[in-house]
Amino acid sequence: MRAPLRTWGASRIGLAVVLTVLWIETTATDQITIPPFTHDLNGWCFVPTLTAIALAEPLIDRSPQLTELGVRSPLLLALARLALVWTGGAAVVGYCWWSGDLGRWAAPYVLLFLAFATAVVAALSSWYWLPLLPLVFVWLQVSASGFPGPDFAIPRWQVATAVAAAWLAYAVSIAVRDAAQRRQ
Amino acid sequence: MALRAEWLGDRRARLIMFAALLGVGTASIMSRGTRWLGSWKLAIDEVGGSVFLVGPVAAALTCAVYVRLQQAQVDELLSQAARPWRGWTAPALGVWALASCAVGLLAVVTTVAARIAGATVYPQLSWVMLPALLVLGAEVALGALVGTRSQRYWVVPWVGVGTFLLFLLTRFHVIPVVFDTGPTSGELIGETFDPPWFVYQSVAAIGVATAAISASHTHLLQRSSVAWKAFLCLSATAALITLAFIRPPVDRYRPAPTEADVCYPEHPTVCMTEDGHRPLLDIVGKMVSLARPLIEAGVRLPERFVPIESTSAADPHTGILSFQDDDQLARSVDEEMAAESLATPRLCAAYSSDDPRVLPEVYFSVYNTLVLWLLVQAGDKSPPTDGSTATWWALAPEQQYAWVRTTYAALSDCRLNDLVRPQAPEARLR
Repeated sequence: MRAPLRTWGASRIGLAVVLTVLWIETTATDQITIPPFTHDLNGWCFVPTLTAIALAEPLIDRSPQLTELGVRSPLLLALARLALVWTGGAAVVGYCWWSGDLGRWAAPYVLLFLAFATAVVAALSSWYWLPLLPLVFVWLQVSASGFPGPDFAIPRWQVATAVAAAWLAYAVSIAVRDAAQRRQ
Repeated sequence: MALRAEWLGDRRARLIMFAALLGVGTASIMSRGTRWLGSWKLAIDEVGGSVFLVGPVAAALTCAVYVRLQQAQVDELLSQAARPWRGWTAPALGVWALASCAVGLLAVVTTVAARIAGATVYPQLSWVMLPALLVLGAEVALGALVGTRSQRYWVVPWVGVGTFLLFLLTRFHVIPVVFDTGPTSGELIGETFDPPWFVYQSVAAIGVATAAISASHTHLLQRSSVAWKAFLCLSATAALITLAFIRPPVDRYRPAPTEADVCYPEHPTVCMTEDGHRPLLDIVGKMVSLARPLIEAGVRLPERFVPIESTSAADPHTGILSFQDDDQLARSVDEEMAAESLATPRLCAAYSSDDPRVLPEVYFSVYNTLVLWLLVQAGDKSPPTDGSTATWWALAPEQQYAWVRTTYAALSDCRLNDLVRPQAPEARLR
């Protein structure tokens, strides 16, 4: 089991989680000014989008030929990959949640952006980062005024729906691709 | 050239890349609206600043291209060619050229738009684009290095995030100067670009770029031309010396008041600095109409009003235009700004003194009353009906003239201790 985990990027997930925790610990409460943004930014503003980009990457199958030859169905393998990525996501969310009040406002957004990244991976595969990098910028623009805080409260059912929809989109995209491949 | 643009993909792929780079650059420039229309210097500064977003995207694209090159083992093919190093660097140069074209196009569009909006053009400052493009080159080269060495597609988004973090770390002052291409949060009025900053940045960026691209494939580097090897040694040494021994400059901008003001002769005459005078006509119109009751009251207006950045701001008989936020860059200002300017007929030393006792407390309420009086006369605001000054506000304008006249004279002469709050005649008797 160790070899596939490595191929799927378990170490990358671990690294992303560790780096996120380090980032939160060192910068979360610091305020910085970046000229394009009218308000000051704190370290929390960078967490949801950047972790989403880093964590979603192992969702992409980098060795499709191997998957094709495998004994297990490609869909099952993809779901295992999804589980791995979201375990990393859960670790980050858990850390945010237990790190204090501010983290509790930030945690749902980590889930939301990871869900969005999952959906974009389903649509664009390895080019998923191309729309996500500009999104970092748009998000900074939005989050600069009062994130994390009560202004950014979001109902839990919305977050749950987004996550479920993203998982579904990912599973469907894999199934569709698999079916298309078999037809060939 | 054994390896050319085809490694960037077909024409459609190159077009998409260009559109993506142009798109993120535009998003960066438009992020705070079109305030840069008010100043040519600000427009070109915003374009340089767009590299903070164009750079990471370009670096990630380069990384993806070089992962593909490595996975297809193109380097082995290249080592048979006549000029392997030139072929190896061509894709990186290609991405850099695409990104530079996108940034260049944005520079042309924004500066021409600013010119059309009436901004004074400073072609001699166009050189600031060069350091920004060099930083872009350094980021592209880092993308090529990571892509080649890792040979894994998963690093691509990490390169994007990583180069963005390099920019953030420069902002945090962890890395000196190198990846910070602006833009400013100010207006750049009465300021200009400070060359030492850009020289430091350029030398460091060229060093990082040549070192990174050279380190990407040392085997092919050995077969590069002598000229390239010499350039690599020179630029890397220069960058090392700069980063290790020269103290990084503190600021990208330095004060540079423009000698010439753009004036509109009216009563009162209003002047703005040459490098930012977009709302001049609007201000003149509003100030002239707001000044009418002052003139009727027998007030002697200053000869002209200038912004604080003007070289003549401290002259006697010169009022100060009181701009807030981005007023100076906008096409129009609000009545309140015009009234506040009229209520500042001279730049008194007390306004900017470090000692708060120099500015008497009464000044603030007198100033606010005068501003309100001007707006009330223009019909923009209604007079207060309660409070200690309500009886004064209830008087006919002619009966208020005396206070306005003495107050304005005291403000014009900076006799701030002579200022008094308005009082109705009855109240004074009691």
